Amino acid sequence: MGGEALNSISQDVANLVLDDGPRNPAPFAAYDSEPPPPPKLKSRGVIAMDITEQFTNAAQQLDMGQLIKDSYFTLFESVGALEIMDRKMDSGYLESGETMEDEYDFSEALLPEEIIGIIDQLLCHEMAWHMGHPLSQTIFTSLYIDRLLSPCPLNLDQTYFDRSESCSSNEPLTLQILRAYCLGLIRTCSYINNRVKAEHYYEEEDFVTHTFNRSLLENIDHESILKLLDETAELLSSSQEMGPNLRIALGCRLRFRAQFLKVVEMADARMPTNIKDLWTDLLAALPDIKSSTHLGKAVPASFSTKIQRKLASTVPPRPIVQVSQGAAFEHLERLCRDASVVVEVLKYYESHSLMTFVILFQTRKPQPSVYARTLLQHYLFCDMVILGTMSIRQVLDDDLAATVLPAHKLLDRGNDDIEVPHDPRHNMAARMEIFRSRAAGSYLDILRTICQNRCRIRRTLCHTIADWDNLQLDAEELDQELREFTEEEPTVDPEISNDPIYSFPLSSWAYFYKLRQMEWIVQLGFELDTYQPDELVGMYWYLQYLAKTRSRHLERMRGFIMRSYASFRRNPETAGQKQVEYANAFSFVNFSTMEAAATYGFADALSCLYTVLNRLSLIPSPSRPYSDDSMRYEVRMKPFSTIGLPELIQFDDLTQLITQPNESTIDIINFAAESVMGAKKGFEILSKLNAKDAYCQGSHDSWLKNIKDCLKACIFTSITISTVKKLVEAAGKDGKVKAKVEIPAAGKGYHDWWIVPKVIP
Amino acid sequence: MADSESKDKGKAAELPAELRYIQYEHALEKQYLPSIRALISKDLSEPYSIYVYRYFLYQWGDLCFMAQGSNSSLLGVIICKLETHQSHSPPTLRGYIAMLAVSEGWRNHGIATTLVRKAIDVMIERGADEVVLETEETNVPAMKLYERLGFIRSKKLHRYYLNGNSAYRLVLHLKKMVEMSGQELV
Repeated sequence: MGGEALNSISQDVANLVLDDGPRNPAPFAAYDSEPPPPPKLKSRGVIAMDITEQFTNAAQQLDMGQLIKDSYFTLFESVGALEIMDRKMDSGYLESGETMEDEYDFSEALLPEEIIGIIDQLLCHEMAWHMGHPLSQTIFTSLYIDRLLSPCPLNLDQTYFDRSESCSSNEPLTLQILRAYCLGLIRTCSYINNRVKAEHYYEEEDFVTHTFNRSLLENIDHESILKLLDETAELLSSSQEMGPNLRIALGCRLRFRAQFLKVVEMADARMPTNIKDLWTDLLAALPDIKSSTHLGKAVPASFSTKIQRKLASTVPPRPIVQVSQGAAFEHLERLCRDASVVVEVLKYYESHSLMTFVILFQTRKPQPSVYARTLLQHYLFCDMVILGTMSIRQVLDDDLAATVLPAHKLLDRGNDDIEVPHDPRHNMAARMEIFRSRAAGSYLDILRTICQNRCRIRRTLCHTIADWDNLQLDAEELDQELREFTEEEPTVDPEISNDPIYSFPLSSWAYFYKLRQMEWIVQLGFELDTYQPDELVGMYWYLQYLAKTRSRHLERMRGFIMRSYASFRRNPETAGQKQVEYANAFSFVNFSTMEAAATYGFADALSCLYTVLNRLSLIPSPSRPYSDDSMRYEVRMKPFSTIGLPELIQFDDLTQLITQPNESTIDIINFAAESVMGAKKGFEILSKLNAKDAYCQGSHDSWLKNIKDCLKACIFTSITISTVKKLVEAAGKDGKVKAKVEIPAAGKGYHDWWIVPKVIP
Repeated sequence: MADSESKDKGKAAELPAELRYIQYEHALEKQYLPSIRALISKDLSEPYSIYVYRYFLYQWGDLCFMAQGSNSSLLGVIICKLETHQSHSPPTLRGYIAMLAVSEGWRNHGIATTLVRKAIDVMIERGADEVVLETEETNVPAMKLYERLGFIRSKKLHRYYLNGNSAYRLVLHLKKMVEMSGQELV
């Protein structure tokens, strides 16, 4: 059929309307003849019944245009529906003159410049895939890649682009270069895709692992592709076909491809030996490629959206994702850097440094690529052997010893060997095993959560704290049971009460981590620009409340460690390991206390500053005709509402606390000034700690930068506070101040977690 | 889902004299659905079939409002739903703003705000406990609109949209949580 006839038919179809006039109630009245007979079906077990009459009667009971909705027809169904002949939905729809498939001559020899052009565009697509776009809109839009993958080749001999009789012996060098590059590219993607799929990530949000029923050539041996790349590079270097610049440009691309393939295969091994160097070498290969992109000549005809029609997909055809060369190289450079750093996690110092490493790695900006984040998870958790060298128990016990149970008999491995049921050591071991089976998952989940994208970290923590709340309660029960076997002597502090005070080590440990996660939820809220300007006063107050609670809890923990240490000293026991464990536990508790103090000092200062700015009506607050502030507070605090301890501050109480009606403005501003000075000193002291004392072994540089950014934010805050103080002091009797407050946009301050307002008189 | 408040080209001088707001009902489908679809799909990267519109309009036609100008031209539309929502917490009657669009030349006149308010007011009449929606991080005018009304950001959604942009979930509680019944007013 000619295009015009097709057009007029599609026009007619588009014009069809169901209600073209009053309907004739008698079915088939326009026909003279009898209704057609029922179709002959030759299937056993199928009985054809003519339901024309029933159907017509039922249909007549509907009004024109009346809709019926089946209860199983959900939004999901409706979104999945497509309209035939709608070009946005129907991938079979062809524009006039358009062919279903691309007609492309794969035997055509390409110029070296064109090979460079195609390779460089493929690199942009490869990075677009890394950034989270599907293969169907990136790498799979290349006709050459499509040619390679369908049908799926069983070996390298089946990968020639030109499928004519004379193919293999006559493949031009340029096409061989492109083929080798494409094979290396796809095989590299298969390693990366498998790594991502094996770890925790969010499909479509972080990455799209869908391969649309195409194989990524796992069946073709990795070594043979490397060999082809090497051989092709050899051929190229001795070839006279092209000028030296083009030869060098193509050569460095082949070498890059081979290097990338090597490193993704090696990166999976959890031996740190030379992986770091492989990544830095790969990074070093990029400048040569970048400097020769200008030699490339684009071949846009070799990329097409039509290939999507052939892919097993549930979505309508989508445009090709175009990432600029600059953005692509940037992403790749960062990936190499991040991957070379992430491998350092394999060196274990102790549990707190491990958590610090993961936290700091994840604060790298921009966010590390999904591949880097899944490598981190692989290094941490693969086969449940932590970092490839330790059992979960080892790390957990390390952490318990460093926080609440230094040199404690509960962690004595010898207890495991005692089989006598009434022996206290047997009972201790059994209950500790129960605790570990309960706590290990939650503890490791903190690490895994931190490996997710920033938004997901906060969202997930909002749920994990409920889990830790339960863990804390379960641990309390175990603590109580264990007392019988550890024969713990309580302390009594008559100033508090006459009740005995027990250490509750396991639930203390759980409470400590629950508090940390609650602090992070509030702090990530600042980073992700979640709070309205007039919410900042309350959220910094809450951060201060949580950090102070942590600080008091640490004090309690220190007290019990001291008691335990005192009795240890009284026994004629050899020092050595036990002494070291005590020293370490004190050191950690002291460090965390310092860090908590700096946090609550700074948070308190900012909260007070915002209190004053609110009082001076310098923070805009919209009229908000719907809802009220107490309901908004419920929305905001929802994740904390189910947590028993620390108690959720009620709205009315918080309002009092953040408006401070009994304090004068000048007193509040002075308090803020003192508080921020104290925080500044705290950050300064922290900045002078060595990696061991700061529990950041393996990431000291990043840790130090973080502290210094906090320090800068502190200093900026004190400047703002003194500006405000001067304005308040200079204000007339009415106390009105004329100034403008600028709250920096997310990511534009010195530190993402400290939103410091700028006050311009 | 979709809302378009971002572009600000060719702003009309004043509101049209005959601006009126109409509540949708199924009988209006033939007359208005094509222009509703045209207005909304302008700013969508993915097409919605007619069934998506019918899904909302058939079940919650009273939560759809249209802003009409001279010659019955469609200047703006809002499409919502209201259902019992059950997840981690006790069930709530949750309104969801699925689509909001105002014709490019008529933005910044408060039409979108009026449409949103009309929809929320009907939700309140029907006993809604809360209203939620997602909006693109870069869509500053839309976020301001909702935040001015009393919505706050409950969470950020990484790369929520097809173009890779992130979104914020905006939430408005209409009752204290302890008073949320999860059920419609009869």
